[in-house]
Amino acid sequence: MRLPDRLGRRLGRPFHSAIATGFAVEFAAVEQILLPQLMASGASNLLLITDARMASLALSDGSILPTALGRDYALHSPPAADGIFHPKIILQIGRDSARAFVSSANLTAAGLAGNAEVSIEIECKDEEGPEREIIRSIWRYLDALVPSQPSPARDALRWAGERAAWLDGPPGLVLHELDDSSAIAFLSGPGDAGIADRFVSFVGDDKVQSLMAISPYWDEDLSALADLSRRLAPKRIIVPIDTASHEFPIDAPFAKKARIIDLNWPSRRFTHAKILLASTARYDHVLFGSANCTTAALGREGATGSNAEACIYRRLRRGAAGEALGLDRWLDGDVIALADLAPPVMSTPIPLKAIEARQPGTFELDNGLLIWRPALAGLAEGDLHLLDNAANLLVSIPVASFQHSGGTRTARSIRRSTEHYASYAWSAVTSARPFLTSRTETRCAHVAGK
Amino acid sequence: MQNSGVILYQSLLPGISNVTLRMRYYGYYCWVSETYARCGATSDFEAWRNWVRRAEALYALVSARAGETGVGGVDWANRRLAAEERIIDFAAAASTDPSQERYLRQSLGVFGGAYYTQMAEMGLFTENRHGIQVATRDLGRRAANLFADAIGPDLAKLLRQKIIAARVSVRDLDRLEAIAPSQVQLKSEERSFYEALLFAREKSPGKSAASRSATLSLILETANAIAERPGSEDVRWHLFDPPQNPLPEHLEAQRLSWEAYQCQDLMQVASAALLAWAVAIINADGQGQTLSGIRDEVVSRLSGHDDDAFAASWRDFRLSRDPATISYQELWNDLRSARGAPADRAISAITLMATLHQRLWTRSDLAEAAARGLSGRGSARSLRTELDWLEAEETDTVVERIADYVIERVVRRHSWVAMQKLRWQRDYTFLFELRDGRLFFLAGYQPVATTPRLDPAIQFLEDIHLLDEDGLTALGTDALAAAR
Repeated sequence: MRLPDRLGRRLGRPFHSAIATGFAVEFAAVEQILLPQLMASGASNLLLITDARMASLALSDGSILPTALGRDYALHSPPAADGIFHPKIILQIGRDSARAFVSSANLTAAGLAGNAEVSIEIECKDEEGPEREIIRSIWRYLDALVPSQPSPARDALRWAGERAAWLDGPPGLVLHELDDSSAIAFLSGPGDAGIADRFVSFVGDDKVQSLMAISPYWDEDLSALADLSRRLAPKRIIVPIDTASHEFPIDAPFAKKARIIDLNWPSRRFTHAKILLASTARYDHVLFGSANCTTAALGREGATGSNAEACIYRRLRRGAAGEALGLDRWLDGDVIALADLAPPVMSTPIPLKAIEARQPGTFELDNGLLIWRPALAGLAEGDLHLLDNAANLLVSIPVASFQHSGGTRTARSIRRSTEHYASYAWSAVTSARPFLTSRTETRCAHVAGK
Repeated sequence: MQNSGVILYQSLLPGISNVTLRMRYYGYYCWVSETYARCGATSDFEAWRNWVRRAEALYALVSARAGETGVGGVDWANRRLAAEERIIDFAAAASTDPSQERYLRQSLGVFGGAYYTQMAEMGLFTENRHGIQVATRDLGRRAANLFADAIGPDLAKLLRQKIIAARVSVRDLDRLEAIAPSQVQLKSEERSFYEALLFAREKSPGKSAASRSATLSLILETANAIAERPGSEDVRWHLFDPPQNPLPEHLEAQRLSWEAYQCQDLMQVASAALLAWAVAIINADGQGQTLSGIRDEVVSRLSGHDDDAFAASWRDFRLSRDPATISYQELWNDLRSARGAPADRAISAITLMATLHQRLWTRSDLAEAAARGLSGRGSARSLRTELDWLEAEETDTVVERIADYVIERVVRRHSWVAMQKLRWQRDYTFLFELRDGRLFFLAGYQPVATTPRLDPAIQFLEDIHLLDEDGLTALGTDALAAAR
């Protein structure tokens, strides 16, 4: 089952809004795969929240550029921090119902339809119950990501909130018991407590028989896995690995304590899912969502992780999680000796610092007035290129021609910049995508339409 | 890119497709429809489907027994014959029950999956108000009658009985051999009818029929020129260059369209070779690649190439190509070969692209034919759109132009097309996918030519005795003379 197929369904009355978050973004996938499904569910108020650097990368690395951004949906990226913005949530909101997907899937074609990912779908009506509390937690989390001052993203959230007042409610308990004696919690980070701390506290004093960790990425020294293992004290630590290509650090001292099993996922696709399963005599405690088995994602004892992450914790009867997620095959799989495992092939690091240094900031075009909020102060040279939907140059505006006011720059003469401009002014207002082009031909952009 | 070529060749051979393999099916299906009507047909589509499937399964058994090819279900039929049953009961195989070993999975058999559309194009079939396909009153009924006349009343009766019973003995299969695809008799009205149909000699043939007729005449021209039965490659290349002896105006116009098609397919294969190169670059070290990394690799490779011509502008490079002397066939074969490195084949691709550009630049008649047959705007890509793109900045160096081409027109285009397939068909056809800002290899790629319906067209001409294994027959010579 592919995630997009689940998104287009309606639950009685249509949804009016949808908010999607992710780390990596591929605008062609967003506009061709994600948005049509969200719109099919009825949503017309759409907001994307992604990592600032990855959004900049997607707009500057030569990928297919967005054509509906600013017109059909708004984009917001929380300011870059020490960690990365990594949660993968899709929240669909209606007047009396909502649906959330908390998953490991980025907003790319691979994430939406190609990779082996894990996702949970939570639906609720405006009726008292744990599902509504989880949805409210997710709403509060997303709402807090966007500053309160006016912006297209804040407008989208305000518009959604006004039509779903039932989403408001005081924060309650983190862990919610369900009728079937299972439990659920929405965990996000960074927060008051680290995700690992929460997970360990939910497992409680029950003796952990096995701890299974599925993750595409790991700490170099396996510190997060070691920390969890030390605190949960499982009899067995099971790590399913894609033996053909993996990043598991086999030379880390802690690696010797894990039972390595061949992942052998049926699809043979890149396994991007992140799952922690701690099994006790009574329960399966499962954590899945965006958090890799790394300290940056999960934190360590008494400390939060540095990344922004979102996960769902589920407490289920023993065996239920393995059954639902198809994890049973690894519980008693043949162990692969570390010596027999191919060396890890480590990913090329994403040049986040370099991308951050190239971020041009955000742009708004309002009645011919181009408002630019640069991400970095001091940019004095270069040209701003306004492109049309086909990435053709509409007009080039020298950076030096902008007027400064605090952290904002404006180009008031944009309507008069050329005689020709008058003929395409409308298209610029409705669909232009501003790009900053420095004199060294580096293109990058961060767009906010209005 | 392939779509533009497909649309063009469909217009050059309407009424025949790559899955309509034998001429005689056209008459047989008309007979099947007429016989169904006379056997007390109802408006029940299920009954019609059952009838068609039984008729096809029986045709497959007869054809397999006679050693025929190009018949739907013949693999199943061969298995049944190998079982040496005294009576072959094919009711279950002709059903749509998935638990049975069916002669074909397609609901309405090869009739629904292949022939109906083309027979409707030729005016043999239409759909009645109950949604059931029926032979038309004029052409369809004539085809049915001529097929019946050709096999005679006794065999027609036997054929009808066996379709109804869905049981047949091997002896009866042998008796029914006269219905097989290759049994169209040389001196028969049935054969003459098929020829008149194919060559648009029936009353009021449409414009598309004239196009088909012209192409079939050009196939006969090819057979005449090479003095043997032509293959599709022979036809492609024979029509690629203007003939020494001028053709009649209507045939020359059609030949020009085929030349434009071949240029389109050459460009398509060249572009595909660049895609294969880009995929190979992505797959070079298992670490994935960025778009700028792919571009850098292209620039590096082309800059280091022995031929300094790549340092020249695209314009100068194309002007230095002589479209009259280059061996297009050699490049064509090289680009579709699995041997050699994709980076080496990319050099052939670039040379071919520049030569094609120059060919159209110097041949206004060809450029006009390409403009008539190929899309030049919108989201479609074709020879025209690609040459227009190359020409737009042709003072750039070859290195720069091709590096941009690989990124903008090849890699991004593949992503766009794959994204459309994912959106509309739910097919994940990406050769590479984006992971944290880098493109990762998923599958290799081998350039392939499109298949412009020429093989079935040649087979049709053989089925009606205009061609045989030695080339043009006496009837074929007459048909060619008539076309001229």
